[in-house]
Amino acid sequence: MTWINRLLRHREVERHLDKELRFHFDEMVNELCAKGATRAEALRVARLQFGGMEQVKEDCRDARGTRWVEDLGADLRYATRGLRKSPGFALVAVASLALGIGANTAVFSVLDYLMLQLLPGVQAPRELSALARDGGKEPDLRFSWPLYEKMRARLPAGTSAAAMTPMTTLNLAVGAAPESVRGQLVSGEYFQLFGVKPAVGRVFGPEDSKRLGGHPVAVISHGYWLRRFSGDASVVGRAVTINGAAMTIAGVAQEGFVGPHPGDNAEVWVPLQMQQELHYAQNANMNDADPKKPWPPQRGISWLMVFVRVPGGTSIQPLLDSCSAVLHADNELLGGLDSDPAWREEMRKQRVMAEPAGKGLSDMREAVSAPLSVLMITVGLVLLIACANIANLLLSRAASRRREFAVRLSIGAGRGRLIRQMLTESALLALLGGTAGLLAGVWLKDVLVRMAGSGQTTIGPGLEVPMNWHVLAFTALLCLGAGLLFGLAPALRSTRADLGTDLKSGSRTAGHEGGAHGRRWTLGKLLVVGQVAVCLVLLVGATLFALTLRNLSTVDPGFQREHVLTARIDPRTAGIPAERLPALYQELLRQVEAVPGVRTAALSLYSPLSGAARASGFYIPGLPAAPGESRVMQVNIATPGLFAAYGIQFVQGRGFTPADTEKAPLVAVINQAMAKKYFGGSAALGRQFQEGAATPPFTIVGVVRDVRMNDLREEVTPMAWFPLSQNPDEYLRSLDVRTAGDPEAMASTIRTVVNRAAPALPVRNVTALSRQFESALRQESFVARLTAVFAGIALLLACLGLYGVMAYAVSRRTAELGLRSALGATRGHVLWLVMRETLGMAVVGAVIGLGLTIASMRLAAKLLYGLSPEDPLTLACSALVLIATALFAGYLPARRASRVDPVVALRCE
Amino acid sequence: MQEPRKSDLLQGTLDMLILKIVQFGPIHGYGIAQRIQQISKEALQVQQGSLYPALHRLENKGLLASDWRASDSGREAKFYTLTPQGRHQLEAETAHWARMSEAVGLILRTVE
Repeated sequence: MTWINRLLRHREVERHLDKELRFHFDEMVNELCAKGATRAEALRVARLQFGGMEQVKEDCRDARGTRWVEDLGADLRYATRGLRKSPGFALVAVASLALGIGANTAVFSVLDYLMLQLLPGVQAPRELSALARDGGKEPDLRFSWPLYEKMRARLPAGTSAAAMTPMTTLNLAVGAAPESVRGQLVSGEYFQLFGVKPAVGRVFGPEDSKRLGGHPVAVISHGYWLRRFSGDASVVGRAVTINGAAMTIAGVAQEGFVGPHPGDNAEVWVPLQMQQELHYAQNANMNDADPKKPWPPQRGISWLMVFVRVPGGTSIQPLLDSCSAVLHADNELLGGLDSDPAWREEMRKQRVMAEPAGKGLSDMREAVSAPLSVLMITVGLVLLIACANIANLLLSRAASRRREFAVRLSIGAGRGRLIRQMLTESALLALLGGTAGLLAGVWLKDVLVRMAGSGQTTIGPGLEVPMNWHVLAFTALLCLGAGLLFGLAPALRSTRADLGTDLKSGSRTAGHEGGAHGRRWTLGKLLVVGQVAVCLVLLVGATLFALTLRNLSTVDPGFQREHVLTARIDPRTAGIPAERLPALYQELLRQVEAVPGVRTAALSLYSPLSGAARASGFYIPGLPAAPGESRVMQVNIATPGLFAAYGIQFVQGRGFTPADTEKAPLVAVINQAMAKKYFGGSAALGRQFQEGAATPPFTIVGVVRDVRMNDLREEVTPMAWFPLSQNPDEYLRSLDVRTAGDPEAMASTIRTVVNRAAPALPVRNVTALSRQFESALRQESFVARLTAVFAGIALLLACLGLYGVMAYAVSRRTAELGLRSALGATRGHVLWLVMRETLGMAVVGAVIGLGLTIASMRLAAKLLYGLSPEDPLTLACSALVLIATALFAGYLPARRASRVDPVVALRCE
Repeated sequence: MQEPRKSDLLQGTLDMLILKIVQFGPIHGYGIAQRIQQISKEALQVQQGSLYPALHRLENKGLLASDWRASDSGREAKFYTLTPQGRHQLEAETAHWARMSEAVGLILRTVE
């Protein structure tokens, strides 16, 4: 019989054992009878000889070698029975564990997806790196097409590369139904580099980036294929319009591959030689270039990211050296055109660096890594507090079972066996809590994903954080760790062989904890001190984040956020030619301003807090830059109504007027920061600056208050506005409307009006500016809300723990307290006696907590605004709140203690 | 567990004696105890408390096999037989025992 068989047929095995021994016994009796003994005598002698039948059986069971599994079954049954007998305890324990484990699972699954997982659908993702230029002021990921081609021609053997633009929004129309999709312009090597095969049709190959404008083909993602084309294989060869250009779908990429930006999934890919046809014009560095001409042939436009693959076990250095050499040659060519020696020196220092890209590149990862880490730590600490609570509950349960354990130990139970039994109980709790936690985690995770995007890094539409084996393993480990954490100490503690005392003393005074003559700091109390300390860290954190949120929402952004409606328009991707723009803009403004309830309408490149921005270098005639100084201003182009629409106040001068025509002198409005830094503040009016060394100068006609365009936290940097009338061929992307009443109520009206005025123009994100403001603070409010919730839970758990320990201590000391009352102690005296203990634990916990807080808050400093991580007021208030709450939790048992009737207490003795 | 630990030699010896008895043919636990007592001329008494755990341990190790059959008295009893593995073990232990007793004997004689 194999062991598994024996396990399954446990009853039969037991029956056989009994039968075998019974046979032996009967044979002995028979033999004795045969020798002439009476039956009674024979029975007596046989019993004497045989010894304890049960003991023999026990030894036989041990000899089977499957003992532990059998015991486990028994322990589980015992543990289940124990838990069922105290459903309150079981419920509290399982619920707090489920909460702790669930929260950890949820945060970890998002963290895992965004920060730890390798790119999906990509072959050997660890071999991938993204190239960057370093040595300049800040590394950037952009290369020109000629530079990329030269670098690719000199790649070391075995390595490969591909170039691509960052993820961009494209306007894809099948027939007459346009839709905004995410996509990339890519070089022909793109799919080869990632090792992506077609699911249907073909993907791009090197021949797809040969001729400028000559590749009107697109590849779509598997997910998009299913969603938009219902997985129809005849999609290959289908004609579509992308950003107004006629294209043909060449194929579908294999399932799972969504590009190199986790959280921002690509749905369509187009050859980058189609840049001009698609009107692609996003983040690029220009140097002696003409952005209106096709970009690929221009060496002065750096607009591409380059990914490389270096086979495992090979050094990437030769590739970097080769690329750096190419870059230097290129910079020499470019640098020869610039007279600034400091800039040339900087270019000479530039090297090509590599950033591991196996997990992809993600702006979102940057944006959410700090908040996610803070959350991970927070929920970890909450779980720790929950574990301490359960440990405390188990401790007091075990203490009341001390006598039982002492009896069992004294009649021969092994200590290891008892510990195993108690651990089984905690493992069962952990298992129940973990299972419930996993379910809670699956749900919480989706809540988290919905909340996690910040204003400027919204999580893409296709994002689903899957449960995977990482997460399951994490949860399983968590359960195991938690079970051991809260089970081990009580198990060791309560099985310590102190037989004499425990057996002799009655159950009432059996415990060493709680007795006045006992040790001052029991394990239970130490656990509470730890809880209080950790709780303080969470309280301080939550307070700091809440204050940060308050500071940020009361920041003066320089514009009035009420009564403004903004909408994103996109004449470029709609394929509207530049010469038709002025008429379009005029018609648009005329019709929108005619809507009742609209005060002012304006158009601009981008609205505040929208995530978009444009920057440019500038020169000041007669005021050359110091060596190494870079003069950069943020740029916006707008119609005259813009300042009124946003309520941006003028400090000096005027805004734009109809007189600022193309023929009139070029004008600009600058912000205070620029006026102060470069034009001596109030002397700025009438001064001039240039965009390039040889371009005509702008005259400053107005200075406005500083406006926070990108981010509420930022230091305001120099910024200039230029009139649309002097830049008529700009593709403006923001419609800005000041309304008399609630802007959101007008959203659909405005949308309809725009559609009527310009039927071909896509309109997106029609929202109130105040919404934009809120979503800019989404991440902060997300962190603030979650940490507040968790700090609240931690406080509650810590109070429960404190209450439990004190209530238990008081119940143990009933007799002593009664005696004190009998001897004349007043109620106040007894109350103070008990409260003193609570106060001691709270204060020691708070002091330790302050140390922990100061050590740990540095991690969170990056997320704070307008206050230091060691803000003394916050620290003091949090500590006081904590101590006060602790005292409240300790008051209830103390009051009970003070009301102990001496007669009752003494009669118990 | 207050029971004194048996020395390895004793335990190993009992295992070897059981294997030897079983080698003669299928036999139940009671029979094994009887045979050991008889053959050793009452010098060795096997307690049930040691015999049965040893039998179960040997069976668990695969050195013994067992089945239920009728005994002399007609009652069903659990009969043990030697497995090929058990036979092998018995040979090894017998050889080992012979070497050991010879070595111990040598020392004892020298001291005398």
